[in-house]
Amino acid sequence: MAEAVARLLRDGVVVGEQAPAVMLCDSLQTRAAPALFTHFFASLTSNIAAGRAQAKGLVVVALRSTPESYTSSLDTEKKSRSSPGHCLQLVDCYTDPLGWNERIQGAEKLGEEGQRHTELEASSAYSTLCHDISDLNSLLSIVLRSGQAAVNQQSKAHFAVLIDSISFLLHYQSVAAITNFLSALRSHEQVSALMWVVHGDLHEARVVASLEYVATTVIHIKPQIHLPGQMLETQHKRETRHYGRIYVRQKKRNGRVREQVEEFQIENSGVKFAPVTLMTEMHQAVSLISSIPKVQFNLELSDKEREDRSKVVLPFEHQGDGKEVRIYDGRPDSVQSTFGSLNVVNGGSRHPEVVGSVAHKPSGVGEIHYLRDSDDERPDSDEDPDDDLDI
Amino acid sequence: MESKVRSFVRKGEVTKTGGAGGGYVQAVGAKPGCHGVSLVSSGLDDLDHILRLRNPLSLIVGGGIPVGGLVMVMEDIEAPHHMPLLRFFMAQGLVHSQPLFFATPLPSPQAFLGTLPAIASRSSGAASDNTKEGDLRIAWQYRRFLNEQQALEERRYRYEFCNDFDLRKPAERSLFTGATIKCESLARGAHLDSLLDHCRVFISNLARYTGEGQLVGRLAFQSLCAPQCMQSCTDWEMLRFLQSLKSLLRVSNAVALITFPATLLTPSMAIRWQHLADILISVEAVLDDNKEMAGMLTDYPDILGFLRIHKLASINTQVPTIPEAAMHAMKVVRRKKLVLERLLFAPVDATSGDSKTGGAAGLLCGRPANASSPLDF
Repeated sequence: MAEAVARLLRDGVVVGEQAPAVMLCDSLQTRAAPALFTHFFASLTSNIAAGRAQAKGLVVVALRSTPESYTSSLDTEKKSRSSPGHCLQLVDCYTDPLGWNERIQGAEKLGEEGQRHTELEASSAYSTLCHDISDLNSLLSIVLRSGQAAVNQQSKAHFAVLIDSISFLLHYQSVAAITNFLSALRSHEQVSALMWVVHGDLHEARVVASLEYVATTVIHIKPQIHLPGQMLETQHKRETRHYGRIYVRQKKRNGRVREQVEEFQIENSGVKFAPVTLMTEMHQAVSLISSIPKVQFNLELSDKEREDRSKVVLPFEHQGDGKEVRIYDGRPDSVQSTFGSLNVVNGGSRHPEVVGSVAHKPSGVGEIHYLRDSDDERPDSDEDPDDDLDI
Repeated sequence: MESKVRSFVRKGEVTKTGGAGGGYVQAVGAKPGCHGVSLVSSGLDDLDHILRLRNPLSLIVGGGIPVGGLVMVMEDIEAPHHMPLLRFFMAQGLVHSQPLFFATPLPSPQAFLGTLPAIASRSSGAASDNTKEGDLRIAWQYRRFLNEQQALEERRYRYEFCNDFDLRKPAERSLFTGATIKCESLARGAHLDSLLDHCRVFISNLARYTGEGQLVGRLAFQSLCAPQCMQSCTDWEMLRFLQSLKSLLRVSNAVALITFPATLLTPSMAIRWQHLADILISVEAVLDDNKEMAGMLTDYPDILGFLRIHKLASINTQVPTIPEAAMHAMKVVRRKKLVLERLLFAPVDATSGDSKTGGAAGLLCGRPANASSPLDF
């Protein structure tokens, strides 16, 4: 979650551990890392200015864009407050990273060098120019010096370091040197938090893996996943690089890894985040656990079927209303007429003990009196169940 | 009992070069295993149990790391679960007074030695033995055999093969005094020539102990292909170092444990490293708050990480052993003991899932999932 990451940057380092390191990794499909970096930069500066953050100063190593792009966003917000250079220091690796300008100017005009130096010094009240990014030791010392300047040379105060684009540094340095540089920053006692951006598809997988090895939180920026039904909608919308998903993987202290997904949308005012429901969570709807096993035939009863079942007349059983019970045995003629013609009396000749509740009709119609001994009589008992018939 | 004439002679000839070459190693902390190989403990009795071979003798004898073998642990870059395995390995070596060689990219290896666990204090077992004897009604003619048996056991098991360690307590200082521990920091890069020389010297020092006082040495390398180590050598040089180390180990009384983050190597290099190992284990991190896994595993909240066995040792044998269960869960019990357990899967609810897919009967009677026509079943 982006807020959790912002809080992580704000809360900074815990005593006895190294500073938290956040890595933003994007690719060509999204290219949203700069916008997200600016978002976290803005939130951290507001926290520092309000005094909520552990860090009292902020150092931004500008490799991808000019330092003015960071100070301008800050100026518009906090013109009324104290000078922005008070807590924000910039290391300008954008203007002259390889020292070409310096060499050209140095060779051409020696006389005006003194003037130029003062000009540079004046402009570097909050910005330090770095002329050689291939020397990581000097860059490290410049960053640490800027950090101490950001906290007004207080030795116990913390400052945060944000690096614009590690990918740019990786052009000139081996990955081992970069990881050493980042580890040195992390282990410095005054650094409270560290964040950097890398473009994942510019480098080999092992390079990105080495950077993940150093980081404690990795944010992968991926393009939005489009479900088939939504494709038409998005075609009408703006370009897809304004939308995307972030996968935040955080290494926790107990050795577990927390992964969270969020959607983001880049707007003019900033970046908006929205939670996303994963497909796995959608399928975990509460399922009613029924005792009926799922087989290919239907074992359940609908209401109508339940009603009809209660109306079924069971054979050979008294209905208790005194009327004769007619059992259909497949013959088209009614029982009455047949038995009447045969003059068969199925009375109590077999069973003298006739239940007296039923009136005995001597009209020659057969009656069957079935008396069930018990309701839970098992069908395969030893006795012949037909013995119970009193015909 | 010792005076009886035995028809079998123990294969325990003392040889100058011990290890897997010939004969069992008569050293503290080593026990004879299968195929003429001696075993030492990894420090975790669950891991020793997992590492045993699948034959009846191993079931009795138990398992461990073969002397002369190379154990490799593939780390997960997101979780530090390889560290407890390293700690137990080294602590067991210290308890058995075995010489230790430790190389790490940490700037100060001695600080890591301070994090080794101490032996867990057990409740006194002697008192319980006496009460057992009191309860046991033995016929008088067999009582003398019982005493002899106890005396024999006490003599044989003066030390335990695998100790129970307590993660909460650091190891006693007394273990470090008099122990042979060589530390090397690879923070400025692994200078492989000098590292190999140090290993060679360490291993050749072990060969000086012969006879009854043989010693098994332990070498531990932490995160060998970490970026700090690889800054001064190429991939192929590192591979050559590993091959040389393995050849040194085979003819010596030493075992080595190497942990390395395999994702930081190129895939072809990672496969070569894995082939070099005698025993290959990997540790994996577990996702936090993962509902799917919580539903699948009953003891998900307690699981620290997963341990996977890829390869078991097949020294002096041509038949490879396939481990019983590939994946084990690492858990810390009562904050002091690390246990490795088989995964316990939650019982699958027959009624869960979509009604369209049906239950077991539906699966049996229905047609296969990728059937092209309704007539296929």
